[in-house]
Order: sequence, then structure tokens, then C-alpha cells
Amino acid sequence: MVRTFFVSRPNFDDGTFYMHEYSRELIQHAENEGLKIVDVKGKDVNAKNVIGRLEILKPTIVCLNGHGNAHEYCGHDMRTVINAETAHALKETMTFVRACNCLEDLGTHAVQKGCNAFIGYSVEFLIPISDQYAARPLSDPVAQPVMETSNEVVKKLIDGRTPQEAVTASKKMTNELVKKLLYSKEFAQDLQSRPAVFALVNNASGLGLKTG
Amino acid sequence: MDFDETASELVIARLKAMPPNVKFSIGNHGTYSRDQLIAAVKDRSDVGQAMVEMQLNYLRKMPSLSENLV
Repeated sequence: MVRTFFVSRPNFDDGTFYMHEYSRELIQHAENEGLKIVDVKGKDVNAKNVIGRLEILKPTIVCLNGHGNAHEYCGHDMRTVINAETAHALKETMTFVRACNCLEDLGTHAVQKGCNAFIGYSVEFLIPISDQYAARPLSDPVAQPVMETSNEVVKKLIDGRTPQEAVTASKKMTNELVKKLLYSKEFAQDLQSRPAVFALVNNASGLGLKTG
Repeated sequence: MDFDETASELVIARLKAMPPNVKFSIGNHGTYSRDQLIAAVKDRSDVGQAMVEMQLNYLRKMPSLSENLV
């Protein structure tokens, strides 16, 4: 049976632009592994499009990028896409929500309504952005470690690892990057690594998993 | 959560040690430069309070990074 990878990636401010661009790597990885891709992006990331496609296509792995809070995941222009009432759309999926604070409340509702595993953050998801690279996120050396550690969650799920293994792999990668950055010459001299270390530790401290 | 003056001063000092050419996207709060964050902490705005909480969380996690992250 062909597995399906569903990704939503709005693109209307700095943070969503970075997530939009770093999701390209996930789509490529899923294609390489033979998964069918469903890519909902930009202005199309709204409740109707996302919930409708989740219910019809029943993807195996779901990656929702954007903003959020404890109660909802938001798409284009901060409009609600998934909340407690519509969390049933994630039934029988392994879902990763790359947005702020969605883990505890939304994650709990999703699992209660049949989501196999809900991975998300219980903190604000921070992205450090270097002014010089703001138009080229994939070349931004400050953001790159932060985005790659969150991408690691989805890459491991695509590779067939369990949700717990995916979370552990992301945190292990964070540990290694933080240690590497702390001992770098840049950290001591030109300060550029400091925002990355701060964001890495913040995000990893809130990365977690809910399962049924 | 409301933070005391000492915590705010500590966070402002830490923010001053960040490079001025790097900003932070903080979810639905928006994107803030280092100097805007310092002003937000001084003003005790919502994003300022969130930054204080994140910085204090960072300081709590760092000493035992290996145990806490994995």
C-alpha cells in the first residue's frame, strides 16, 4: 500500500516563509522514499482545503506548518484550520505540527479522536532569522540548524521510524548541534551562533508526543 | 506570568549579547529584532513576557542539557 505524505505550508510572514521553504526538503525526501505527496500551500492553507483533503485522502504522515496556540492550528492569515471540533480529521495519522504551543490541548483532543500520534511543541516555536539571508532561508546559517532539527522529526517518520524514535532523533540532533555551536569560534567571537543555540534549546525543550 | 525586575534585567543583558542583525520569528507574536525585544521586555508587553519566560527556561535547561533534551 502506498503511503501518503500530507504537508500544509502557508506563506504570509517571515516565520511561515521559512517553514514553507524548509518543507521542500521534506517533500523531496518523501518523494525519494516513494510516498504520494499532497502539498497544500500559501493561500490554500485554510480549513476547507486541509480538512477536506485529510478526510478524503487519509494520509499516513501529516506535517502542518504555520502558527498556532494551545487550542488550534492556524493557516493562511492566522485563520483557524484545526481545533478541538475538527481534530477528528487527523484520525489514523501520525501528525507533526510545526507551530507554537499545539501539543498539550490540541494534541490531546486529536489523540482522543483517533490520531495515532501527535507530535508538536508546548512552547513558542522560535526561528532565528539573519537579516542578510531573510530572502534566502535555505542559505541562512542561523536558521538552518533550528529548521533541520524540526525537519528531522518528519524525515524519521517518512523513514518508517516510530513517533517516539522520531522525537528522540530530533532531540539527539539538537544536542549534537548545540554542543558543536557552543564550542565554535563563532559563538565566542562574532555572536552569530547564540540565537541558534537559544532557539534550539527552547524548541527542543517543548517538543513532545501524544499517543492513544 | 509576571516577572520581577531582576529577571527582566537579566534577560535584557542576555538579549544585548545577541547579534543586532538577527531577528526572531516568535510564532503568532510576529518577528522582532534584538532591540525590539529589549523594548518589549522593558514595556512588559505580551511578547516581552514571553521572551523572559523563554530565556529563563533556556537558563534552566542549559546546565543539564543532555539529560533534559533526550
